Amino acid sequence: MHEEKNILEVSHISKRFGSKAVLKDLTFQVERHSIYGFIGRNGAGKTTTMKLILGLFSADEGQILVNGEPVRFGKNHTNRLIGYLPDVPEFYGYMTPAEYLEFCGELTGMPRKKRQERIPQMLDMVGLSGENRRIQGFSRGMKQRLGIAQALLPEPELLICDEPTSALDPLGRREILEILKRASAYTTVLFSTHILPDVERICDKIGILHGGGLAWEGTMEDVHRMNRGGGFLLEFETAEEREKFARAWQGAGTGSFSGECRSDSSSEVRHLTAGFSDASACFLCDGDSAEMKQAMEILLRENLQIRKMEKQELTLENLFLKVLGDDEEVHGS
Amino acid sequence: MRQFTAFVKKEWMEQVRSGRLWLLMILFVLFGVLSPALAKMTPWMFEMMGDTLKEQGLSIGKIEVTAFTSWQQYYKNSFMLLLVPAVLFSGSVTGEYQKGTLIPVLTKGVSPGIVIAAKWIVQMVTWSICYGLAFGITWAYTAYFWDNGKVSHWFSAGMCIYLLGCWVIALLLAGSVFLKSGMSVLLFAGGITAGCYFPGMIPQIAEWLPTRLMSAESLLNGAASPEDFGKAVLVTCVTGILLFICAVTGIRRKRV
Repeated sequence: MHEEKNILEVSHISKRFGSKAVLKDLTFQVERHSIYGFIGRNGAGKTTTMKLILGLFSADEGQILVNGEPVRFGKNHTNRLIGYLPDVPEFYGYMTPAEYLEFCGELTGMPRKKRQERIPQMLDMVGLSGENRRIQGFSRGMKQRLGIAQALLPEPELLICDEPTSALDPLGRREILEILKRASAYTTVLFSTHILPDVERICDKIGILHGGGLAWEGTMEDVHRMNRGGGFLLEFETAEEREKFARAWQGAGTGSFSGECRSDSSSEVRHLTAGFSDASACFLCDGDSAEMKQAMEILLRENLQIRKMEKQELTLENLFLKVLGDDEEVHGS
Repeated sequence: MRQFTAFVKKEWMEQVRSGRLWLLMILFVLFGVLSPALAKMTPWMFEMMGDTLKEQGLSIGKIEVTAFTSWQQYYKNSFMLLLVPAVLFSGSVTGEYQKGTLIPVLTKGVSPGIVIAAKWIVQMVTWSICYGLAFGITWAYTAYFWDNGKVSHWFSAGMCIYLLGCWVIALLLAGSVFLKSGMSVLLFAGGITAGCYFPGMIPQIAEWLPTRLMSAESLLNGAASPEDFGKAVLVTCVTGILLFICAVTGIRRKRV
């Protein structure tokens, strides 16, 4: 089979439910062999997007390609390339896990020999080998693990997981994330969540869904890079001490000084330059450890008292809140 | 084809493990036994009640029970024979929507039409087995105690109810595609069936309606001939096929 560079291409997708526009011109691509974290608040349209990719919903506008093949509502031919784990996976309770995987294997046209080989492997991978109970007695976490096994059984080229960790305890979450990480060795993973530490833990690329479209997209490296330029904050006892420090800082020619704190609106990334923050006795400095060291030298030289010195980190959570329009949260970090 | 076979196996497993098949079989065996048993007990029951009836001024002559009495009893139960499987099958598709069990299946590239076709086959097989049991048991006991040969068209009459059962299954499946709960599907099927009764009051229309098959009992005493049911059989077969096609095509447009 011909392999496209992007296993998934979502182009200008719009979807309305009645009068409510859930998706508006949504466009993004998922590269092969990556883990793509699809984040957004509840009701942002993550599940709708996934169901559109699976051909379970029809798009009002736009096109979705899975390995270059268009997805069509009601004709789920492209689903042979996809493994899907729903947010609340439900299976036939009267089957055992092995019977359910056998059923899934038959549905996907897997030869008997391959099924006999792969089913024990999958059960072992998700920690359900030797589990001969019927599924109706399973906990939520066990169902989630079985969900991953059934999704990965036919060796899909794209694994779509809809909030796979949202209702699990910390141990269950960790297990599921580890399984997804292992699975990414041979498949591409698109997973939606609103649990940001999960994204930070395993994703290569992140897309923030907001207002019906992709409000921000980048790699975890991009987020880390923002941290490197995040700067630091000095909080002085008085405004006079802060101004004294500002003059010394300017005189030393360290960093830029604009006299006010600003956000670079031309970039998606909040960029700080040295300046006064809105709090009267605070001073924001651009730069990293070298600048911090220099600031400390100025403080010692000028004999200035500070209340605190804090590294300004732009975490994924801050970025998420910023994209969602809650700038206050970003400033507060 | 492989997907269809897999889903048929799954449906069959569901019938067996959910206990639905056993429950239906037990009930249909009871229906089968009940008709000749009640016919056999009729003289004894009248004898038991004889004194009471005499005190009220009623005198009972000799009760003659024949194979006709047994079959007549069978057709009195025919509504129940249709209702019980209808109740048990009504949630077959809607239950899958409500629980979300169809999502992992459809996202494996299985056509929704296959799901409907597999459910239809398994329900038809279940209905055929259970109906065959009830009908066969009644036939066997009636043959043992009396003589089936003295009853006209007992097989054709039995086939009328069987065909109506097949039509009800198609009706339930079509309803399941458009409705959300088992109860609404049952009400839909009940509504359509009841709706057939009103125009059925006009004889010219009645002979074209599937519900005409409910009066198959009239074949037993020769009051009607199998040819009189020809139009109803034709309409039942055609609408049954149309309902099935409607279910298969309708589920493709359904948002799961």
